[in-house]
Amino acid sequence: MFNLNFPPISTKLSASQLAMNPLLSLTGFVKKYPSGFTLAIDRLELKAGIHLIQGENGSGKSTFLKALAGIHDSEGEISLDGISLRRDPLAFRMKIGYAEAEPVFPEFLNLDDLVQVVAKAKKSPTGQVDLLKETFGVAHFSQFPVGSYSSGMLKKTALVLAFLGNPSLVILDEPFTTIDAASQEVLADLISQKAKSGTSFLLTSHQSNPLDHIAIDSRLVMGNGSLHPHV
Amino acid sequence: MAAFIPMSELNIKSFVIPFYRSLLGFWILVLVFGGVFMELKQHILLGRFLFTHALPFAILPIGFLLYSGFHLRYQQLLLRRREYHIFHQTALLPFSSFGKDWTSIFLANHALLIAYLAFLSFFGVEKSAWVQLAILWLTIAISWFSTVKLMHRHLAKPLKEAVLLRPRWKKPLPRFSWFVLELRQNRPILLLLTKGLSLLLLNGFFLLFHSGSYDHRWLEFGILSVAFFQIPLLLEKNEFENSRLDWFKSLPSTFSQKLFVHLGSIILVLFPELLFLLWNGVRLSGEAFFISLPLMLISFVIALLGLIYNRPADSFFQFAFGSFMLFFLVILFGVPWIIPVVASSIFFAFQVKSPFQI
Repeated sequence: MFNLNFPPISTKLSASQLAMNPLLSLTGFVKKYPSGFTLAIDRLELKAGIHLIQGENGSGKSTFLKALAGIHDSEGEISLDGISLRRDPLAFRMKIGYAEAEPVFPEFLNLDDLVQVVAKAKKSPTGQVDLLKETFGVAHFSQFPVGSYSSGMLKKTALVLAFLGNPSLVILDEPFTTIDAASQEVLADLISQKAKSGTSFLLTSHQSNPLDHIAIDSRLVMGNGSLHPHV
Repeated sequence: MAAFIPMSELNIKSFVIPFYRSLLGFWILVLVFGGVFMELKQHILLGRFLFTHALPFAILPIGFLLYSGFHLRYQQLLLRRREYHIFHQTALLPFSSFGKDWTSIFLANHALLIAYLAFLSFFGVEKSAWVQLAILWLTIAISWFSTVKLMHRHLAKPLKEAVLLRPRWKKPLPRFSWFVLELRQNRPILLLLTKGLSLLLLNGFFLLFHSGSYDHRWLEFGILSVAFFQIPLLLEKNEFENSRLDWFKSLPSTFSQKLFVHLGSIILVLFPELLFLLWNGVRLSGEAFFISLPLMLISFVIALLGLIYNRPADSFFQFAFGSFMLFFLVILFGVPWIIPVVASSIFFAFQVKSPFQI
């Protein structure tokens, strides 16, 4: 257990942004895993910016991110921009974009079907779908059933879905794995560009190359059932 | 702009087809009882009887509530599966839009039941049973409203994580046990429903056989019906082998190893029915039913499994219907049981012989 108050170290963020309340805050967070492993974080505050969580395989990063995205339950208080996940889960989830490390979708649907569900739910602005499809180069397979996708195509599908709507925080779990080098570059540029316009990111990655192109504001390490600042 | 399919089609693919697929056995049973054993005249008599007798009438609203409760639970479990997490986002839709989607899903999944209740309601009007009619249709309305409301509440909150079940067995689990464990983990309702209803069906066939009006062919027909009842489980087996066990196709397994795994997993899945047949077969004196009936069940089921491997596309159901009729004629004309058993086994052996088949 530990207390962690994380000041952003970004030179890109404006003074007004820095003075604002934390973007994401956790208090008394506890996540119990089916294996019996427990992750406990007394307090964590992240201000707007790009944050990276690192840790060994099986350290609990992905399940932690799923709890932050409001997909799975956890104990304690999680709030985003002052909106509590427990008290107002729908408003909270409206402001979150999430792509999991190994995405799976119903095999009989196609990317357009999935986009339709998420774009409608997240009130995606006009033209956003086409722009994202073009950015990630997914248009040519968007009508093929998901069951026929390669792992890279699945990852790109999850990334398109994560950016839909107007999320304040986009959580990307291992976003650079399985996609080709050109797509990694496109994604790194998109993250930087979106961060400049006010979207925050919480990333995990085992790959250092694509991260070299992104200005990371804070680094955290997950290990021994807790989250520590990177030293 | 991409050409989107209408939302209703997406809902049909995601929430209606899987639901009917899991209840295939139940609807076969309903069709056998309601369509083969009962004539229109008996349905009319049943309708008039129910609307004039308060206690039996209670079956209708209570039965509908049970079916509706099962439907709700099924959809909630479906949404806990990882590939369905995408639909967690639908709670973000305006409630009117969410309600419209789930109303269409509810109506599609209850359509057969609602249609039959509408048919029976005609006799309620005839008998001026207004109170019963009001109760019946109010129950349907409440079920619909509860389904929409509870689904929204379910999706608005974080989802419960699926609990991973593994037997307390320290050693590696044998391959033939994997399929039944997969069913227990991911298709528990389908497994329980199929086993429960097929035992009920078998019991019905044995009860009528004991009345003395039927010969051994009646029991063989019962075995055939129960074998076809397993189709949803066999489709799951095929899907399991071709998706999650796909990697195992690369193993250099011999024909006998493959046969052992297939037969082992089929016997495990059919264990309740086989136990029932052995027990009841021993009790029947004069014939070797305790050998013939279990062997017939296994052979019919592996023949169907072979057919699924042979015809994985939509044409399977046409061929399955054709094979049902063929086996039915074989039984009707009193062909010795060993002939369909051997023929089915040879057919199955040919299907798993391929190196591209697990």
